[in-house]
Amino acid sequence: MIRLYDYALSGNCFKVRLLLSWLDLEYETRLVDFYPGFEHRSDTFRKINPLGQLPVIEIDGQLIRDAQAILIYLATTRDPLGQWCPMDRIGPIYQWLAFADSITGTISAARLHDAMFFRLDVDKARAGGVQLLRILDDHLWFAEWAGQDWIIAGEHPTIADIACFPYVALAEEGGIDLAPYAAIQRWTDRFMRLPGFAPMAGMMPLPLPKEART
Amino acid sequence: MSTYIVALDREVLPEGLVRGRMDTAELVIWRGASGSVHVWEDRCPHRSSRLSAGRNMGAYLEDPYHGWRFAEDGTVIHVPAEGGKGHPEISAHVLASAVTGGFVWASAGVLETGDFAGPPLRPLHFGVSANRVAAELDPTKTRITPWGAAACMVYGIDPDAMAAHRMLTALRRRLEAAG
Ligand code: FES
Repeated sequence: MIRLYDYALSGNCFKVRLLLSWLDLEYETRLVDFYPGFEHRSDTFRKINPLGQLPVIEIDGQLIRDAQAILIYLATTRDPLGQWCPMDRIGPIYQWLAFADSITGTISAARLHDAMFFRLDVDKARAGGVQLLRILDDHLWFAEWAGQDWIIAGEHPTIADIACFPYVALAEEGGIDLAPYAAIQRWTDRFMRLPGFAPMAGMMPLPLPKEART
Repeated sequence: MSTYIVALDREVLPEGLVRGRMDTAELVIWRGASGSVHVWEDRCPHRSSRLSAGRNMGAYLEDPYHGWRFAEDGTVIHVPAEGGKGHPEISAHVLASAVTGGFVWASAGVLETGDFAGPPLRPLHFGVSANRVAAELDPTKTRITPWGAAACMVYGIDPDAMAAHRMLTALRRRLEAAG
């Protein structure tokens, strides 16, 4: 049985839940009270992850921490079709997973400051976030121009999209205006319309009416 | 009252809602089932919530907060709290708009689109005022829309799209670094 150490309002946990559900994997959840309980900083939890971070997954007799690492592990061991992590595009995939990590350090940090009152340099976090949004918006704009819908060229979305999606979609909770990034908004619209997508709190994907679905 | 470009025509997708700005006004831009593009202030006449957080249902735009529905002409056609009654006397804040040359134009006053057409560049958001950017660019190839007092969106036409895009990106870096 797969076990996920999880927190509902964490975008990094959300990524893992999304992929687990898209891969149709059964798992049990162990909820960790990140805020306001700060349980992830407790001694008990530090035995599971010395970094005191979520998510962590228990799978195949091992503990794997770090959202991006978990995405790679699941996509390479549990996706027989290899759609979520196509090996012929592994370079760009790793590149965008690292990019997602920078998103956590900036856009997500700004959200922690605003929504959960964490103390940090929020102006710096927002400025860093804007630089990343510009890079992603550029990338997606030119991808669309070339007829592509996703971060990595190809028909099917990949773990690169999953990794980048949550904190970008939640950016406004950290006081970052998404209005300048029209290509990002079209991409988040497409992403939220994928079959089986279920939002986390703070995202506003209103389901399309049946008659408008293609 | 100036007329500004507020979006690229081909980026206003059916079923989508595009957010934009023009001077101090926040905008929601959408394409209705009729195929026409509408430019409204992004503010619900009910309780001022952001219409761009709603959904484009083709025949109407729906505000998620209390479910008011707005027809393509902006009028309220459905209020759930009143059993789905319409209110033709209430309307979204509709701006004058038109589509020409691949661009969506809008004005809070009289619309004057002029002739500006060509292969559109990637629109670029600058974190400096429209005036500062305008001083650096060729007005025959660019149109600048103020986004509040300290930012703007630059729309351009150029057959050599990549070279022009690189030039604009470099200009943005220089102007923003100068503060
Ligand atoms: S604020 Fe728009 S429906 Fe109430």
